[in-house]
Amino acid sequence: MELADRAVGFLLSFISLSIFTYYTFWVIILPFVDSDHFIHQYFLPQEYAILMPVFAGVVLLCFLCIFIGFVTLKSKKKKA
Amino acid sequence: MILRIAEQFIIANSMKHVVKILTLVVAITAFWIGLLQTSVVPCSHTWLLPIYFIVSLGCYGLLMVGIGLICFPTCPQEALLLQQDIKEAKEYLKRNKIDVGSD
Repeated sequence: MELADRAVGFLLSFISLSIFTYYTFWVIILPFVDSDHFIHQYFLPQEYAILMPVFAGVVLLCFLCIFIGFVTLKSKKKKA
Repeated sequence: MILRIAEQFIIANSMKHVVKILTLVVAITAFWIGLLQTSVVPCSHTWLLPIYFIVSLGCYGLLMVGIGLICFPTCPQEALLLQQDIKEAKEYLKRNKIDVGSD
């Protein structure tokens, strides 16, 4: 049991660290690199650096609202 | 009636909490706009830096959760003692003819 917990914890920290390094590279380091460096082909164009977190935040908000509405409806149906 | 008073207390306290959080958000926005006006921050990064900080804050939260999961203490001796306690309690209740349920 604790091995599964550790695996999930390790996966979570790995995902968070990779997202952090990729995003830091994208936003902070890439503008200072010459535009014909080969590293630019591994990163999407810079507009996506704003769109993607905003999109993810909007999706999360929608999911939260749907979940809250679902739970409220289910509890109301059970009471009635 | 006590339940109603407790409900009002909880609602009032969560309202105070929401007001506190909103004031914090307004203060940070004012600070950011101030920094923009005095050109400490370049104007092309108006939206980029706050989003970067929010993303890094989320990453930090995830990292703390992951690290907490990895270093979670399991106390195997306490687990054994707990199982023994549960067994004793079940036998005692069964002896007194109370339905224990999960057998």
